[in-house]
Amino acid sequence: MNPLRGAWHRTEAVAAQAVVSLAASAPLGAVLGVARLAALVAYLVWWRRRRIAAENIRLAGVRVNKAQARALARASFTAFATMVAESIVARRRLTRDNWQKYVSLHLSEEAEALLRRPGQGLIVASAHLGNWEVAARAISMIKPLLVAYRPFNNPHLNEVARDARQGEHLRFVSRLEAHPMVFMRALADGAIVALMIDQHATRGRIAIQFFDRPAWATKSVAMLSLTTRMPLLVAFAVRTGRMHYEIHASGPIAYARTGDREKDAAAITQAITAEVEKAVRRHPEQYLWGHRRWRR
Amino acid sequence: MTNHDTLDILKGLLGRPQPGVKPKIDVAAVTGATRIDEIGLDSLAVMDFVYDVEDRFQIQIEIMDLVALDRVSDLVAYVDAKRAV
Repeated sequence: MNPLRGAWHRTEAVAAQAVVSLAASAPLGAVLGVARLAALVAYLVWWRRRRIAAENIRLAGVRVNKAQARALARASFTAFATMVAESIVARRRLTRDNWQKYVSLHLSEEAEALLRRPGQGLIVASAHLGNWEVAARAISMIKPLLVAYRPFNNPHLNEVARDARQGEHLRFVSRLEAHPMVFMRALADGAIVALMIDQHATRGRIAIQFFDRPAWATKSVAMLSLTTRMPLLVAFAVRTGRMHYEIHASGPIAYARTGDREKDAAAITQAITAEVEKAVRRHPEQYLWGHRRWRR
Repeated sequence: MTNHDTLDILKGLLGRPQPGVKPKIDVAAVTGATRIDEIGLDSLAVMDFVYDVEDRFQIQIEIMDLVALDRVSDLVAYVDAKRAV
């Protein structure tokens, strides 16, 4: 690696570690204040991401008017910064005894039963809506949870992020470094495997429609469901107030195999995406719009 | 069908091109003694492979059995046993 790049990577990681340590020990009000300020600065400075977010909002048809789209994009920046801040705080604040003070469950009856059944493996598809980190932490208090994540390019930053995100029964596994059987083994052990479905996928992907526009999504979630036959839920944690969240879960998604692998994977992925879309329409200000979702 | 036939079919499935993915596996080097973990499949390719095996042999591979399989020969024996039922 280029030595300059290596030095930059280490600097980034040290800065990230300092932010995590400060945020973890500061009062919540102060952390949220800084997060709001950081969101504003990011919105003003990071013009490319700001433009992508506003464009995506208009492409999705969530806001048609340019000014309204920009306002929603700004709210989305704030929601993201708040998500990061509260996730860091949640690491020390949420415990097995008190997590229900901060997070309430709004699950389908079947989803609730599956979640509470000891030894039952579960696949959970989610999206960058609300606070996926707090959702994972809270749910891991009920059932061990393994999250598949897409790593940063900076390996030092990855280490900091992984350490800050993991918990007693909450593990993060890089999609790129994962042992080929890691997800299946976790399911066989009765854990939850959680994967994000709403990012543009460049490989192992399937064509879907998101807000009536063609997009690519990972087919991993669908294939995991098809091959393990474990129940597949779609879940999100929506922010309802300061450090307060509601986890909503639908499913399990029912699907009968046809023998056509790609067709089956597409059908399941589209069904999940439809659930994501419904949730985003309900809470568009909490969605991460800055991602280039409709790349070809 | 012999164990050898099953192995050949499994190798054929391993060599099947996946949409949008460059083949990385040296199928000719796969033998019964090869550990499944070491074939060179990533997690998605493993799932594709399991789907294809189930479809080709019209069997259902239970997840508990799947994670217990170590070598390709174990998979061959498992498939043959399932087909015999």
